[in-house]
Amino acid sequence: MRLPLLLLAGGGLLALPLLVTRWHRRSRTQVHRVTARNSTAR
Amino acid sequence: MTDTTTARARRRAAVDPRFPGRQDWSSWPAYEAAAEGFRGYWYPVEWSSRITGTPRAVTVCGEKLVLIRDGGTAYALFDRCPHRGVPLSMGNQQFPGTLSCVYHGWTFDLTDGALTAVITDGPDSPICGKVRVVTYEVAERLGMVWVYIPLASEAAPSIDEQLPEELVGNDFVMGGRMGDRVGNWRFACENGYDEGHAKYLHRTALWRLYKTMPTWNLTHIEKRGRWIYRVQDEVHFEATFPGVGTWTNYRWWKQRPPTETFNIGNTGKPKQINPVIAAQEFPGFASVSMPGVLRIVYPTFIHYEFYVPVDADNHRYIGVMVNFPATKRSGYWFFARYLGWIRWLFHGQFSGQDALMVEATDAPPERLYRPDVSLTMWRQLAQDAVAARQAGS
Repeated sequence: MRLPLLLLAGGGLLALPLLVTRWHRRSRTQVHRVTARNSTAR
Repeated sequence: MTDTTTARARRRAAVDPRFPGRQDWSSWPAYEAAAEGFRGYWYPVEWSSRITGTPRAVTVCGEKLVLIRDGGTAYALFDRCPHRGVPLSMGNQQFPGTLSCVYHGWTFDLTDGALTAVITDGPDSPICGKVRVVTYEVAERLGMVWVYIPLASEAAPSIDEQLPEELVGNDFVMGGRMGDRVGNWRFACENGYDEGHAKYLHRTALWRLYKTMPTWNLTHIEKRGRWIYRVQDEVHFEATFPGVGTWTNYRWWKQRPPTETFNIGNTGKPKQINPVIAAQEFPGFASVSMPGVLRIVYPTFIHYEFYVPVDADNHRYIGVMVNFPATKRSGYWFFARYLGWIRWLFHGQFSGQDALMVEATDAPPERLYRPDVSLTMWRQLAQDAVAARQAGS
């Protein structure tokens, strides 16, 4: 009984960063540090 | 498109003649004609990191472009092979410094758009050098690729002349969010600079959960340089409306509204203002400039919105929040706040309320009210900018 629950929780924990990363890319959100000397931040 | 035009004409004809006033945009003919945006400006089109060796199609001001990166430099070409009209963005790179059409291998130089080889016609193809696709000037600023959409074939002015002044020559950290939205770019820009909407529409935004939004303001518009500013003469957090009752956005869990009038931020007089922001001496917290750049100044950060015309019915919305940190550590703290909080609430739900309104806006005809001086002055700014260019040319 415990094993499936543990597997489910583990799977969920593993999937969460993937989902967040995927959403992050789809939402076209970025952060940048821009310096005055070189304002062409990439 | 024709159906929309006909429907608009019908509604315009149905405007009640008993209520005369400015109901159309005929006072600003250049603005009215700019459904696909103003040419002769730089526009941000995509995050730099998304422009790679794989061609990417973008539409700006109704013009289809293909963007590609080669040797670290981004290039933009008109997205149409002159041979049979197939988008070059469907093609790929077969030789360094070029882009080849997917159909017959017509190969164009990225710097000047010249046809340098035709793979399916041999090395001595007589058409080489006789055909060219239009290229566009490209710059990279704020982590984004910007393209200059020319009026004709003129050289682009420096992009630094068009960027908000405080973003040239200062160190800063920024977070931004980009999205394709439904609605004309002018509705998006007018919504951004609209004096009346934020305090009412956004009063339910989670971003403002603990802040009391004003009930109504008395505002005038001041022009300084290429920007016009909304200057708040009076800010009222409660009002009694004859015959209907009293209205306020204040709730027991929100910060108490300030008693003084203020012009940085929209919820109260700040205790401290970031030195870089203070040095700008902004007359008002909301300002707008051509070709559709909004600047909202808060005590510790500045929020920008770039409204990029895609076509007459769509625009690209780019929200950017800039922080001028005193230390490297405070810069990382901003990144954490942006990714964990700001992008979800301010550049998420709050901005989503605007997106809904822009999509639903259907004007002209329209009946403007006192706070709409912000809209009419923005339209006039655009109209004057076009007139100044015509006078200068």
